[in-house]
Amino acid sequence: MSTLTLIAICATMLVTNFLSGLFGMAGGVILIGLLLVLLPVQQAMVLHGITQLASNIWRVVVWRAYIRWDIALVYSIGSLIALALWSITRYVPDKAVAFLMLGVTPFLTMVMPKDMRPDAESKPQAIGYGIGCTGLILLTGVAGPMLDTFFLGGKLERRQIMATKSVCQVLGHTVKLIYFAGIVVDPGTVDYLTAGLAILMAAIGTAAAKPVVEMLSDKTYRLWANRIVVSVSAYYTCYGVWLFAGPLFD
Amino acid sequence: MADAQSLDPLILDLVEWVAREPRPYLELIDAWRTSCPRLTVWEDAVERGFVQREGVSLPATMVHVTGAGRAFLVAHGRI
Repeated sequence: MSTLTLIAICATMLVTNFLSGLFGMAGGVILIGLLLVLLPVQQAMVLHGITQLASNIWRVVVWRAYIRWDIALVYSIGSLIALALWSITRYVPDKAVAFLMLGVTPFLTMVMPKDMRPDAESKPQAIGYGIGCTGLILLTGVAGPMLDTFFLGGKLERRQIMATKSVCQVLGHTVKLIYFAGIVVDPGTVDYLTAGLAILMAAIGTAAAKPVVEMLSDKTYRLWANRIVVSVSAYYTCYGVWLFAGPLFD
Repeated sequence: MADAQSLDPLILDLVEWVAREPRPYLELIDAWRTSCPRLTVWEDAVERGFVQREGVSLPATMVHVTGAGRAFLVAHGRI
């Protein structure tokens, strides 16, 4: 990896984690998009997995008393089924597919019929979401928005939601690491220096956001959070379409 | 972001917590602000008129339940 790429990765980590710390969301989605521009898919997925694992393991430790292990355990069955299914194909999405799916996913949760209410305490649904979210992670690198709809459709209190979602994210990103660093053809590798710097920059970015969070009013937060989700998703969708259509005009 | 309806059980918890006694704004934000997912429980409760802030200077700002907040609790059998 060139020094220039390493500097770009560090800057990306810093900025996306600052945004994530500020808005409490979307960090992983923006990060994977930028990493996919800088690196090959396998390498981007591995580096993204390492940093997301670090932040989610931290959340698991902080909120460990609130984890609903019964839900996490059933969800993990779904995750393993997804890993087994994907391992048969050893499919690696090309960048066009990854960007298109990244762009479309947040809108999928918005168009879901209201009467199709998820229930985080339903075992069949936990397995279903385990398969679906882990499949999405293997396709796009992230499944946060989809996982949120699952956890919000139940009777869990807020700390249980954050804690149990973190465990599910640890599972998902571990599966992603195993898949892209070991199972696929031509697996991605990331050296220790890059991984260490990425985690360090992520921690600095998150910490730097803390004082700014207090200055955001409730209305400003809502306005910008919506703008970020919509504009990032729209950009990814357009970029994915452009990557698809590009070769047609060559 | 989650829609306000899916947050109703959490909004009920917050309004019920404030209804027990007025809470300092800073304590409320510290206890209720979440990340990943960022749940807009406080923002929704304010927007729907269930709770309101009183006092201008930040450390002394208190959060009270409103009439609409009490009606919301009654409608859901929390009072």
